[in-house]
Amino acid sequence: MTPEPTDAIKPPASPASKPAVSTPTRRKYWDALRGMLSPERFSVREEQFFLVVAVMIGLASGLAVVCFRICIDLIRIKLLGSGLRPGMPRVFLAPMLAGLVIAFLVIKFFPRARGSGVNQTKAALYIYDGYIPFSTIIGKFITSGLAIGSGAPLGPEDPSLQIGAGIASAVGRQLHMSREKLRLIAPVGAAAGLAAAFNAPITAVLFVIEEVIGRWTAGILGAVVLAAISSAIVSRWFLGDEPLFRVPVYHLEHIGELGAYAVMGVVGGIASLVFVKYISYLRPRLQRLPPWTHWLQPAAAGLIIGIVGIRYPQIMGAGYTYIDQAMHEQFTWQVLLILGGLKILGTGLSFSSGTPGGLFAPVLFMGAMIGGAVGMVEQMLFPHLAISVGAYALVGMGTLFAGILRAPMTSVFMMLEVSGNYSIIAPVIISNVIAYVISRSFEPTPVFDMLSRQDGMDLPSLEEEREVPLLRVEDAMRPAIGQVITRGMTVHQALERVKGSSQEFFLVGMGGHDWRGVSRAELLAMPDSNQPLRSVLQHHVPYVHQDFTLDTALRIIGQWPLVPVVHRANFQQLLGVLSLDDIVRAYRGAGLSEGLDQEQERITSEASI
Amino acid sequence: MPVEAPETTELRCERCGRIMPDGSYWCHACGKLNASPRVRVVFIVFVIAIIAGVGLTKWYVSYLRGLESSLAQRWFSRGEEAVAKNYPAVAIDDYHNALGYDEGNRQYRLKLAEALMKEGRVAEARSNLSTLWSLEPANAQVNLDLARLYAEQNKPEIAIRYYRTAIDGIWSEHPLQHRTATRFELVQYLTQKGDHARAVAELIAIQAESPEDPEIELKVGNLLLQLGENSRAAKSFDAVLKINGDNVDALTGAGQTALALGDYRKAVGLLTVADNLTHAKAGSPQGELLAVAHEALEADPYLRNLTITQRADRVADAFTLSMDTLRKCAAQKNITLVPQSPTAAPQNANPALPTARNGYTTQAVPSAAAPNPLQLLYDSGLEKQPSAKVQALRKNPDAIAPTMDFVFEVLRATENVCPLETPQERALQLIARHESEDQR
Repeated sequence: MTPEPTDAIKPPASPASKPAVSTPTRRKYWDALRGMLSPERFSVREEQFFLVVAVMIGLASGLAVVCFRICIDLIRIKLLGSGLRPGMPRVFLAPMLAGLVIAFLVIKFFPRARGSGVNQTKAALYIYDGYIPFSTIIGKFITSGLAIGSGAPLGPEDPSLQIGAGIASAVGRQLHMSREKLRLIAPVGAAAGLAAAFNAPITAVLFVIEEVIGRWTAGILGAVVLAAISSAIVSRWFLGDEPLFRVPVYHLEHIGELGAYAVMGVVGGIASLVFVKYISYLRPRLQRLPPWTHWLQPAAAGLIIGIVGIRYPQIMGAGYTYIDQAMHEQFTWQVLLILGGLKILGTGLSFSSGTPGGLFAPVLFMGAMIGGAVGMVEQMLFPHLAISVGAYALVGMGTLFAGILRAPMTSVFMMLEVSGNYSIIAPVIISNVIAYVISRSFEPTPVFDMLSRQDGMDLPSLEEEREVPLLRVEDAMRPAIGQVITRGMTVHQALERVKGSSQEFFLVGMGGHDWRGVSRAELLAMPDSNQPLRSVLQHHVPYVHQDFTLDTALRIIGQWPLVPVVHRANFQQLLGVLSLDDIVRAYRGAGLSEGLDQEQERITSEASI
Repeated sequence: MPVEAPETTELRCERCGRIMPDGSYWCHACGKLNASPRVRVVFIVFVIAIIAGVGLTKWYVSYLRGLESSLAQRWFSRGEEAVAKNYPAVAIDDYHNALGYDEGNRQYRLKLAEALMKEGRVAEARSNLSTLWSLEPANAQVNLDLARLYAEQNKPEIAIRYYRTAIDGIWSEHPLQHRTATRFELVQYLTQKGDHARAVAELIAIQAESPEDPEIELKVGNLLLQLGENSRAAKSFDAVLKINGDNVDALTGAGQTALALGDYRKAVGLLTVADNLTHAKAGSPQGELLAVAHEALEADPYLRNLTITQRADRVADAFTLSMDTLRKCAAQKNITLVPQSPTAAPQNANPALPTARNGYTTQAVPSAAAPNPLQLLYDSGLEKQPSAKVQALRKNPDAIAPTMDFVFEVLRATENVCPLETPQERALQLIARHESEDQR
């Protein structure tokens, strides 16, 4: 067999060719380069490609959110004027007329643009396999921009989240990703959108995990983080890396301050509860009104907001400028309290009327105002504590975030990320925990879950998962009575032992990690002999530890009728045995099915309202 | 008829040949991306869209930034106009608006803080200044504003600290002038607070920083004079006069210093030149000071080379003038001075009474039954009157000192109650001060 010529056409050697890089050498380099760039060499797995796409989604979402924020600013300037205090006719005309346009657009063209955007993204993840129509992105962009720009007391973060998720969904569909990846790509975009809007990637990642995905999952964490970081970089590149607020310097100077922050937690918890109850009361009632009123509800809400805005324009729009001012003691405590209260009323009204917009910024606004007011009052009452009003406003933001959105982890990390000051962590945690406990005690359902249930959807929630007791092997295992045969026995001895027992399956500890099992039938089928038992047992039985969850145990137990529960430090120390029946009994005994039934009834009754 | 095999739509992996999931371009077995041209096109379009999006967003952002910048400038100009028209409340809103579009502009924030201070919104002003301070701790203007703010809030230690940081801080233009002006402001504040030692120290520092500047030297001299640092003040005025001997202010200051130091002859000389340079205008400060200097020169009984007769004459005149001043002051305060018997009003019976040579006690309040201090002084004067006549003083020169002590006591008692108006009275007051300083 003769080798085939590799170079079919060889150029003749020319004396005129340059000796440094001859044509054959050039051809060789070229071939090598082509080989390196050949698609065959780039056999990336879908997971790797998913990460690349996540970065690109982050970039695209970042760009979209930057445009969205600029759009809001421009609309605000055009509709409300360039001053922070809008002029008289504009202040109530702009939100009202914008409300009419928004109602028309939402009812006629973009029905999915209604609401904050968080629930819609979550619904896309859990109900629609990650599908978010592109028209929703357009609708969200236009209607939310118009609403917030015209003074509706809502925020741009949740819409940004949905815009990011929508872009991700569209890209995933176009790239023909697998159904699993398509479902997961929406939260990736959501994190990117939120990170760009809030300029805080860590907060965005945690918020998406706590509120959108609803459970801790390592599967897409990398993609979510990459997307959030890339979009935050885009946002910072275009809008500057200035933080949203100028956070004053804070040091804990007196241990008594922690007590004062506990008071902040109580006040924040009550305020959170008021807001959640208010929305849960108002929204279904406005939705139940005759359909023709839905055309007018955003306009009516806009008119009321405008009338309030004549005296208190601070409550209009997202209000980040005023959060900053509150942090720097530029309002009296009375004004802060009024602004906080009016924002609760205005946001609840605007949101319940169907005006698209987010709750993220209004919650921070309420927190800053109420926190600042509490700080000022405490400053007057306890002058020796050297209370910083700015720190109270900051802690107040986290407190209401934890109390209303029930994302305690996000709220703590958000404060750290926004302030860049680790001294604030103790006050934040104390205040957040108190507000969270108060809010959860009197209203068990978090606000986003409540909203989705009002819309007839039941979506998983990390908050509610916390409520479900986690069952472990120790809750199900039972003592191994008469089910263990010692490995030193002969077959004969084992047969004698089995004959006197009512059990059907027996475990034999062989030393080390090795546990074997044998059924009564198998043993009885063996010829009676003095052969050591260990030499005839073939089946290796898996084992579990007592701290394994029952879910893990279920996966391990497989087809085995019984598995040993062994000590973690001594694998031959048998703590008990576990069977499939034991697991089922444990679940029944915990009353989870009853609890789920009750939950189902509650959801049905809420949906019917 | 041959049966054709149905056309299959299933995709197989280019690498491993296995059937790929329906609608997917990923081989789940080997992970190969078997991307169809469509997927590749989508990917490339997506990348191009991002690049185009970057360009579009950049344009969009620069458009907004331009608009915001012009709006910020417009609001800031309106704020400046409002400040110029002394409408700080309006200016505050305008500056707030300007800052709304240019959050990081330190000039806007500084102006806002200054307008807030003018409006008396101290907490807000402090907050804004603190923000600026945290960004630029060495910014002299910010430190100066903070110093003024704390000075208004009567927190002298903090105010002085900020004044000092402002003095040592960074000025964007004319640092020496600003530093000196800030030092003068600090001197004024320290003087108000009664901290004369630190005020003098600052003035010395100013002299060291601007040794050749007559204007500053003159200002320092006046302030030193005000603080009672007469010798230092004299040196300052002399320094100015060396540069310009016809400087009226320096001549006046030097004359005042000479008066304070008791060198009435020199004071007369200097003030005469100053008065001449101002063409001896009636009611001019130089003229008034000159009159006082003349009176002091003629009334001072402690001048050297005076004969006993001349000294006795001057003491007797001073006594008469003091009794007249006492009567005039009592009349102004509607107090009727009635001669009383010496037993009814023993000298030094009341703690409020002046004590000879030991200064005058002003703190003690006379009891309801106690007579008025002016009345007590008047009684004491009446008692001393015979021994304060010219002949008596000539005969008994030892009575000169107690008589002059009485005169000074009268002047000290009356100067806090009634202003001393005539040059004679002011001359005697000067002599009294100078004498008490000498005694100290």
